[in-house]
Amino acid sequence: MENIMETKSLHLYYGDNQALKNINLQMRKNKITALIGPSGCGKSTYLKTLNRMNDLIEHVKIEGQVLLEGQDIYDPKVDVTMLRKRVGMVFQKPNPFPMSIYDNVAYGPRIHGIKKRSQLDELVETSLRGAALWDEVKDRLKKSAMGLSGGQQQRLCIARALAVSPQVLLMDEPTSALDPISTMKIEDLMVELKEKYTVAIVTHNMQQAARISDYTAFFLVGEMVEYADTEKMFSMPSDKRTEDYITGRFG
Amino acid sequence: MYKKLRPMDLFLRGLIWLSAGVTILMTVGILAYILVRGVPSISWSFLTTAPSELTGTIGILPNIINTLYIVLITLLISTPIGIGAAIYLTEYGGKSKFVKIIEFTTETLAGIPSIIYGLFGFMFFVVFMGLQYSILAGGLTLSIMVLPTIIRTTQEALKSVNPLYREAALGIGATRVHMIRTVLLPSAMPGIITAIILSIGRIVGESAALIFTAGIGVKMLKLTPAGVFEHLETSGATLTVQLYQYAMRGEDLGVSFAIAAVLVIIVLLINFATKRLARRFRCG
Repeated sequence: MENIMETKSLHLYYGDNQALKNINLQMRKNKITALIGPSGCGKSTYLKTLNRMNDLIEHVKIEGQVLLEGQDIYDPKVDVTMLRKRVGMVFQKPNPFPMSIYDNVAYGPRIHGIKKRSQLDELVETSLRGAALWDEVKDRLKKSAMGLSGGQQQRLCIARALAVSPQVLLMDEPTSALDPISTMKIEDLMVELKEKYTVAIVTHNMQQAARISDYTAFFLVGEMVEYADTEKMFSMPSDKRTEDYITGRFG
Repeated sequence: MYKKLRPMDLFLRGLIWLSAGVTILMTVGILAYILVRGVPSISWSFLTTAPSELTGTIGILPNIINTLYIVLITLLISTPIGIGAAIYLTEYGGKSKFVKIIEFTTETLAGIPSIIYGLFGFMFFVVFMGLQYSILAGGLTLSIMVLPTIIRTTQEALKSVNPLYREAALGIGATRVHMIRTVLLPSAMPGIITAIILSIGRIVGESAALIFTAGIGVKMLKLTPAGVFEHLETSGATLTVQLYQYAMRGEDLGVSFAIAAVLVIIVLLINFATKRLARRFRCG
């Protein structure tokens, strides 16, 4: 099994406060990895180290290595723009730009220098199809994205992330702000997406992790307690704390 | 279950209605008074000629042109600087002491009476830099005067942009400059336009800071390519400065009111136009 991203003894500090302790995780290519754990356990923080979104926060210190296809993404020579092209992100709340649907999807490709209209048109269509949104919006691409429903907005954000053809897609609780039907659509979509992409998803919803992921990592107060095959994790966890959490004894 | 009389509620509601009424009455009253007294003295030649000693007629065309010149110059100088400073303060400055000091000074500058800007402009631009009484000196002085307004209002506009947009843009690989240009500034545009409207109001209404810097000239603009630029070096009274002079002389209040009416109409037009412009920028 091929690993696309690998984290080696990663420590992360917010000032004096250690938020991640010695994380070692190998993310399998074309699989969905779910990160679960109670609030404040560091799972979102960990996700954000994978495309350096933590760089934006002041007083963050990171030790250890995060490798993308063997290359350390915290190497000072790494171009963050290129990194984020390869490792895309979808956030908790849908956050389309206050622009047209078309311009939202074309935003990323334009950053990376694609200007030709025909090329952009094609990218917008394939990305929207990839996010299972094309049929709903193909007649109103020039309309503002703010007119879409919450679930559509989130799929638009996925399309926007797909438009730069990332290798890895990070999703930070992508359905927590959505209704059950939109959630179901996005879950189906994620399963389709793993054909082409590797997906890492942070979720509070254990059923969601069990339904869609291939691997699950359980985080607790900054540590990764257990990382295993999702089926194994939910049927016979090896750590007592994992068992307590997934059986709902705390969290 | 029956309606009960609540005297305190009635009393407070009465006060609120009274305040609203007084405000509206004053605004409408002043506007109406100025227009009623001013409009009859406005004629075509009043609007389209310069004052002439020979024929003894009064015209305010030079003043209208000077006003537009000063508005334009001031905005050309202060808007880019002000927006740039606001971007620095909100996006790059962080929470450093330096930022706090700049914020404090801009707030202080915003509260300084305009006559003080006039004196400074006179000492610095007119005398020290040798610009003499000129539209350029006036525009430079007013640029300093409106800068705090532009910076503070733009800052507020930038701060109120949904932080999720920033995250989204950076998360897809946009550099910070690209994010500012493509997401932040367009979203903040209505607020920035408000800053510009407020500034135009202050510029058009200014007299004290201009008398000492732009002076009281009423030369006509020469409509040649060179003349358009030479006009910057001439002394020129804006409508407000001209109004001040006529009103001080007290001989002909009709002219003062006519200028006042023109000013009111210009301000209303500018506000209307900028609001329309702001609406066009608003998306989503």
